[in-house]
Amino acid sequence: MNMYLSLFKKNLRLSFVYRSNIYISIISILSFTMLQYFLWKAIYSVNESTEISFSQMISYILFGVFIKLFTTCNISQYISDEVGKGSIELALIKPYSFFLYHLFRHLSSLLFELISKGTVLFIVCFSVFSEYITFSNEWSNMFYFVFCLFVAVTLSFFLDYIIGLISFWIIQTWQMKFLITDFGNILSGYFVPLWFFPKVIYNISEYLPFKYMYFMPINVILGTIPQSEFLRYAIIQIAWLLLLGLIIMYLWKNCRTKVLIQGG
Amino acid sequence: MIYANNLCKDYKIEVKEKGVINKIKSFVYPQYIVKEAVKNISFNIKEGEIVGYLGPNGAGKSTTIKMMSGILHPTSGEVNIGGVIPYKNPRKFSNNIGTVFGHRSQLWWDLPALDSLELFKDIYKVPDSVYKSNINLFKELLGIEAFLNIPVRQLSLGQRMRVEIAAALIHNPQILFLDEPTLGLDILVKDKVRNFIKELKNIHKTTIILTTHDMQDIETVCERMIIIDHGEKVFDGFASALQELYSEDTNIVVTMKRNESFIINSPGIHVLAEEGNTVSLRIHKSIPTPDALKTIMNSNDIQDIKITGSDLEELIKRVYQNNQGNEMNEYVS
Amino acid sequence: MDSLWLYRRFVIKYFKSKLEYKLPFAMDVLVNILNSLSFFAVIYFIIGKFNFLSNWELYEVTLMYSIGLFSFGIAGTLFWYPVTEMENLMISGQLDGYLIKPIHPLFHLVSKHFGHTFLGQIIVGISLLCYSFFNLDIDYNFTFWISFIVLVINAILVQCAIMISLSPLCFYFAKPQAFAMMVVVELQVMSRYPADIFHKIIQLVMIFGIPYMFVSYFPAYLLVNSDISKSYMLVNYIIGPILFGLSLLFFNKSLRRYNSAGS
Repeated sequence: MNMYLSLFKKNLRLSFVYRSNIYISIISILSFTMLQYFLWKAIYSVNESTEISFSQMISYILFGVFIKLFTTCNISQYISDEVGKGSIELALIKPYSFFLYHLFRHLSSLLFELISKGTVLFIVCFSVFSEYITFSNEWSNMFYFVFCLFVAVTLSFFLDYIIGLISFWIIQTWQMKFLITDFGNILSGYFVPLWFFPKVIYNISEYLPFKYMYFMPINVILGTIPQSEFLRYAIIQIAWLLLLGLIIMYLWKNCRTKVLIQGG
Repeated sequence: MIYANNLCKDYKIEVKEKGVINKIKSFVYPQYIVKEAVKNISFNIKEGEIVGYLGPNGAGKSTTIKMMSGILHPTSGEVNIGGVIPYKNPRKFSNNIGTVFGHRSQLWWDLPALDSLELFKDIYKVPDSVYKSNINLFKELLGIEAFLNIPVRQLSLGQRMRVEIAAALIHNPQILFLDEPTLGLDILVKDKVRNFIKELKNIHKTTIILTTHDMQDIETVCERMIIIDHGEKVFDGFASALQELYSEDTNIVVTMKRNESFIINSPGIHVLAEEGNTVSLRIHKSIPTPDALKTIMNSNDIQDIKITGSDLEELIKRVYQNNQGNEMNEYVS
Repeated sequence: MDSLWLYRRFVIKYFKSKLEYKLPFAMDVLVNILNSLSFFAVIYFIIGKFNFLSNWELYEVTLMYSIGLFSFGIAGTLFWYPVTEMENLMISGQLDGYLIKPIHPLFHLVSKHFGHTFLGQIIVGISLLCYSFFNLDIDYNFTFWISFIVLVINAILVQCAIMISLSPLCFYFAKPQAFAMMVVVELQVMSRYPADIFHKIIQLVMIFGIPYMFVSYFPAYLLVNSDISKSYMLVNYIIGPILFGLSLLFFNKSLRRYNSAGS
């Protein structure tokens, strides 16, 4: 465990070196937020929405920005690069778990992002848009929100890790990541909240895990999901975690044999 | 052909401070150190010469080469190649030069070698007849025919290097810059490359500047050597001149035929040690080795002689070491 | 003309090497097709459902989006490689090799690596252009088509200018790729939405800062509104070559700076 903690710390320090990227990505996130704000402001000036108020919509966007910080994962690119370079064999003969290694690496990047980007975004967004922010302050919502956040982080890591493992077979995974991210963005409510989509899309997203990586946590904190539904959703979330976990274990077994037999 | 006069190149390097206060200070009022990478280098190279351009790492070799090829502007001084100043119009000048940078490939990675050569033909607008004859020459002397149709990324280093050299010469440049061309090559390929370089002089009268750390390269190929160290020229001449300037005493180990004592009566020959049959001797540099040998063999029955003289590597090492006192010139600006 | 012939030779060779692996090539293009379509689908859906724009109709927005996408695709096939690769070339020293060839280094970089992934954007762009033309109620006369061609060429040139200006940034600060990506992706996405919804300041940034307004908004505006009441809008017909020329000057200046500074 000590080894993983020191890896965590080392990676954290490394992230700090590349801090110019932080400023730029903060600007990127802010520009996206601004785009969404203006867009929905224009929409709401013409349309009356009975279900979702303008404040709720803006809050959706703001909370969404933070959830996105939690669920962005790039591990698949690291793994795919190692496979491409052929150094993956070296990684496999090390005396530590491949999974835990990448998990801690991701968690340290995550922590760094939250500290650097998260604080700035928090200050900017919640000062500029403070008049629009609304959220539920019931304890059950808050607790369930934390649970949903945990699920979202884990699901996004699992999904990306699976893509990384697939690189053992197809090496270049950026296309797959691109596609899944694109579809994921639409089906998770990143561009348009799922409330507004036609029934068809809403139903499709019910059967996919993307909803739980973005839409779910936001709605819980907004309070738009009745508490009676919490348990039901929690069961589905756990089911997704288990499913993806099983896929990882299955893939990993085959990865090892593939490398041992064919060699990188 | 190549005329360099008092070439100087200074680099301005920003001093990076530690600590927050200093960082802010250096942001507002940056301090620079000026590093004199090249200091007053002058030489004159005639057409068709093969010159070895040597120096320890960081001596300023690649900086000078960059100035000669037109990539870099000198801080002061001038360089003039065939009447043209390289950095005034590097693109036009590039028609006259070919370059091979050992570790940096200029070929298309995913295409067969021949395709790269064809594209170079198009870039330099080489006439078909010239192209064909050059390709035949390369096939004959470099042996590249066997792998012309294999993608470059699949070639071994030796194969790739030969294609790089071919690519650099497709347009019959007057000057060829070779930067570590034999680095990492096996003996057979090294031989081929060295012989090819020597042939070039005969065929096209190409002026060749060869940067290398490989002593064999210099011994087999170069007629003349220019040695650079700490930005300054420390030697310019032929190998024999180097020998005269820097060679020291020769050491000889003699194995006697019978258990006899060694007899020598010459002031320049000094016995270092005797152990059983073997005698170690030192010959003062004023005495040519053949004369010393004659003297030794006249008075003794010798079974075997081993001469451990100053070879080229030793000499060059001494040149580098002698110059170590002068640190790279730096001053604050 | 010489250069065009040379470029053609390069591109043929590039395709020869890429088409050896047909599946990855097709995948690359397909991914970009789907990506462009998904972005568009969101806009299409929002505008179709909410209908909140007073002076922009659904198919007019489609036209705007498609001109932006198409010009981006063409510019990307040419200049995207220099943007992403310049820093690596500089660090590895391979850039020097480009400087001592008889062709302009930018042209060499452009020719060496055709951005085939952008074929996806081009395909979707053309399709959406046709789609919007079928559904728009415009007088498709001779003047319209001339105007269209000139405006699209200008849009392409502006996109190229933006990319050309991004590529030499590695000479000024380290790791400029993040900045380049932000400009080309984030800011451009904003320009594909009708800019009326934005605050005036942002619109000004998109005209005088990073000129994405000229790439989609203004051309589409000029094409659907045949009454050009403001004469300064005519600048759209010449802004392309002007910005393109300026970006080339910037590129050359940066290279000269690299030449005299060394590294």
